[in-house]
Amino acid sequence: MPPVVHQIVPNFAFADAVGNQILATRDLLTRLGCETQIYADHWDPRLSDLVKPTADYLSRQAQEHWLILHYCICGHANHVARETTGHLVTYYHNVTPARFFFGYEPAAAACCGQARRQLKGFAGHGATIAASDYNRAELESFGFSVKAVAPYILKLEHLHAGLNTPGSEALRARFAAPDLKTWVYVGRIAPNKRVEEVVRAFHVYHSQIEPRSRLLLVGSRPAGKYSDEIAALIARLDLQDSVIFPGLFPAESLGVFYELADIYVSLSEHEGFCVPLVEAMSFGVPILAFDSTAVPGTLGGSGVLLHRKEPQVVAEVAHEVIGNHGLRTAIVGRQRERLTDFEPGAMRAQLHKALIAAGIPLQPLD
Amino acid sequence: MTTEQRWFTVGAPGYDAADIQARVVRQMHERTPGGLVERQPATGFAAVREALAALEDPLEDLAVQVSVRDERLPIGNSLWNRMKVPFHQLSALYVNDLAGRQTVINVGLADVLDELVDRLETAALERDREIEALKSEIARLSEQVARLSTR
Repeated sequence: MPPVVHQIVPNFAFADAVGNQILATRDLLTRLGCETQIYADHWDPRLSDLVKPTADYLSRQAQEHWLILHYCICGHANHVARETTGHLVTYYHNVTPARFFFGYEPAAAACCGQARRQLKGFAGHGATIAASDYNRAELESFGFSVKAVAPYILKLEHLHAGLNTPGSEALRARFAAPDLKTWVYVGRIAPNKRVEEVVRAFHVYHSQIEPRSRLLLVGSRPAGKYSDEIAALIARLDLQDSVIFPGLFPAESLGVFYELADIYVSLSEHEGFCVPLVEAMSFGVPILAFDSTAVPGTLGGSGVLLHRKEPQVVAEVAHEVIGNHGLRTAIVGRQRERLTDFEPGAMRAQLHKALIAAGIPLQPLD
Repeated sequence: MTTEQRWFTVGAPGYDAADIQARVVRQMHERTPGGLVERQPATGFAAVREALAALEDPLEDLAVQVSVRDERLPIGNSLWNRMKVPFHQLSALYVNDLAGRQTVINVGLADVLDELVDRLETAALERDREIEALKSEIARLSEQVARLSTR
């Protein structure tokens, strides 16, 4: 009889790394014949059919059941999981350090600070799986004994399959500009991502190197002080016509932006994995990324890993990568090799193995 | 060229990061003779200072809230009798809000202190490693001196 394995998370978001991994885990558990349900404190309305409130878990929990807690932010779900009468497995996605949000989003700072401090209380409490080697090292520094690393199961085929849909055609028609060199960044406009540094570097590139250029900042732009500062910086640098915020898109439409990219640029200072790097690899887009947290682990020796990021340095290196055809080809070739390490079948097998290492008596994977 | 000296690592078979860097530096100096605009990410104690500086905003917000509350005190007794229930509710609202903000600050300060402790521990480990390395070097040199003096 396959075990009952539920999942719980404070916030079940649509189309983000955590939400996608929860769905991929659900698919795997269902395929293995497990009874499974997702519980959350909050969720995106588009996921309503797939989720039940955290409170419902309390009445359904049982000693012989398993509960996978997706640890990524503060929330009631963490407390419920900590006190579960069943067997707990914590999957650690990482928590952004609070200091990035000081001065911008006090509530987010408090929530992240609380989540990082409470994380230490989970050491020795159930089994733990990390989403990356970086996350494993961080957990170990907190005294955890990590059972396994299981990176994200990325459905890259959705990005590529969506390229020919009418929606993507419309986006392509709207954003295509073959005469412009296009920098692309994909992700939330958040302080830890250091989007302002991408804008400053692009400004040097645009004003001193290649005026026929633009920067697409693709992703959610939460209202608040940080977004306001980015907008003010763009205005101050007179880049309103060259820095574009297309918005947040599901996987089916997101591929268009990678297709339009001449280079992918990330100057983020905190990542638990950084999914867009792998997405860029799958579209043959050369990557320029700052050496921080999980980024070198995800790149795995591919792309260009920046050890410093003064705007002139980033701009000149970007220029070299975009303009030097041989270098660009070699970078993309190495990235394609690295991409094979994230093949979904292999990642699924790794997650299956990790869940078994955590103690869940799963059936073998066909 | 060590990693510290290298500005970037390139995953491109057949290409040397040092050559690319030399080209990048040359182009950069041609374009910006004034040199680099230095901007290194905050590390070590600079990160702690940055985090503490960023806490100033919520502290200022808190001060503003306190002054707003003072301005809403009632004046007359009869008015107070009529107003005390809604005023109590209003006070509770502000107190709750202030408590919330204080919690944010407390959590923030605790996080900064966590960061500080981490940095201190890292610095202490580095110092220990340096001391061990120096001790080994002294032992090696002492042996060398001893060998030379016996000749």
